[in-house]
Amino acid sequence: MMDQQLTRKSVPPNGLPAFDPRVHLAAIVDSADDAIISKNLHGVVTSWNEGARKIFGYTADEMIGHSILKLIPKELQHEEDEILNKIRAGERIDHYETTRQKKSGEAVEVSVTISPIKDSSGAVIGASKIARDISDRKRVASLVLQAEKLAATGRMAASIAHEINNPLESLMNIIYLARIYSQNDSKVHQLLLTAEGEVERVAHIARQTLGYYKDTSIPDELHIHDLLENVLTVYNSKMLAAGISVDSRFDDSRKIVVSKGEMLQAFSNIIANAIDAMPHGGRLAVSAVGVSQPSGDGIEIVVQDSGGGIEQENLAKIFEPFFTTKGSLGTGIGLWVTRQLIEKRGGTIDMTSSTAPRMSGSTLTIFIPYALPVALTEIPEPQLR
Amino acid sequence: MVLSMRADAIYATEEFPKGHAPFPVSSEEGAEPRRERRRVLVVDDQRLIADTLAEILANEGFEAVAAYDGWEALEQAARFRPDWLLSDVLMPRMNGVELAIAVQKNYPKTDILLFSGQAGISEILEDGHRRGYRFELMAKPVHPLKLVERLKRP
Repeated sequence: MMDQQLTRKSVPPNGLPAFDPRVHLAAIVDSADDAIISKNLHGVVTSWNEGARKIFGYTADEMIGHSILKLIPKELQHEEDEILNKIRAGERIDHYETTRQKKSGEAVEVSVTISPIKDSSGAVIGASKIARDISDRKRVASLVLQAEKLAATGRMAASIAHEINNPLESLMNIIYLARIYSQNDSKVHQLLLTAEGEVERVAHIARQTLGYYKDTSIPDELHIHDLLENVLTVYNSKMLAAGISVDSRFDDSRKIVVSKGEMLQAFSNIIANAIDAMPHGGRLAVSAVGVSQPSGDGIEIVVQDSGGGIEQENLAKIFEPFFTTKGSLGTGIGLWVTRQLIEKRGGTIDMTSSTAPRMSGSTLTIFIPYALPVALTEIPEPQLR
Repeated sequence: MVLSMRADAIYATEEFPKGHAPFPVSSEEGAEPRRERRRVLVVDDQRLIADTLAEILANEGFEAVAAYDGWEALEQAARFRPDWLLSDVLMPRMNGVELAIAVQKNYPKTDILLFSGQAGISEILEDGHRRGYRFELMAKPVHPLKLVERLKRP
């Protein structure tokens, strides 16, 4: 229908301006939200609409006469050859999802449809390209995927926990009994003592990763610095052995209501990570300070290590399940669980990191509000035992 | 009957009807209110866990008996009148929270400690919370000495 309208010979009615199909078409093209671009067979841009400016940030002046490669990230530039080959053969590319680069350098997810432009003899002389920004759609899809991954992980952890923690409990009891029934100074006694230590090690990992601690005891009112000092004491010998010095600064005079077991687990994971980041020694700084925020008062805890730091591209994934930067040593569960525990209490956790030589290291900042989240205050008062 | 089971809930009467206690109550209890050996009822459907724990606790100076199921545990509790109920949570027929609520209603002096190897028991525990009950919970595997230490604390 539009074609008919555009090709119809326009007759100026009653002195009104003549209907010019080209002007009309240009207006339609410019009012589109999608990027509508044409290029010749060498990949040089020949037209550039307003939508293209909005999506990619370049003006028509900056693009017309320049190569379309300006929009294509280096690692994807091979795509352009494939696209041009198809276009030369007269083929069309429909809804191809890829990544392009804005003027700002930022990546943008697009869906592109590319069709050949032919001259009156039918020979291909260029291509028209319609690109739609699908970053939002991609973001939503990746969040959905993330949520599904989390749910699946939770189910898997629960079922493995069942199969592992019960036999571990039996094993621990049996070895303990065998040890106390053995001669105190015998070889058997020694072996059982070693076995007990090894089982305890497995048990520790299982507790930390699989049946991750659900503390249902009544929340305690405590000083966060006491809790942090507790955790630091536990890791003291490990830090001494690795040559890590600790610098702690506590200025949290007000007590806070937290689930002690869950917070112990959260901060143990964080401190353990910091220690793992400094196998050749370093400095661990731990602080807790009472802060006022517009959203409410609370305690800010900062844990900073002087390790090698985490690469920028990994930083975004650091709280995802099964993501680890520790190679085969990591389970990828620790920080994931930690974030869940902190968020359950209504807090937030963020990480920044630098890999710059001499200044490298990671900083975790945790904020816990004094106020309990609604979900926790709804639980009825416990009945006295 | 002390208990009746309806749907997934247990209803317990506050006390035994007079003269209808199903098992004779130990006569020592009145004469010796502060027993030296504290009594622990250990409940786990994994028999190996219940048996080994009962043995360990006996070695540590407790009087311990094992039960492998919630209903059996209630029968034992009536006979044995434990100071402590140490129970697993996820068990067939009757879960640890249902057992704990029934024991607490009938024997308010009995202290209760639950232990579990599952992360997925929150629904059972929350069901208890909604009914106004909260019990101390330890995560399996727990070292026997840690358990002993907890049971020795008042």
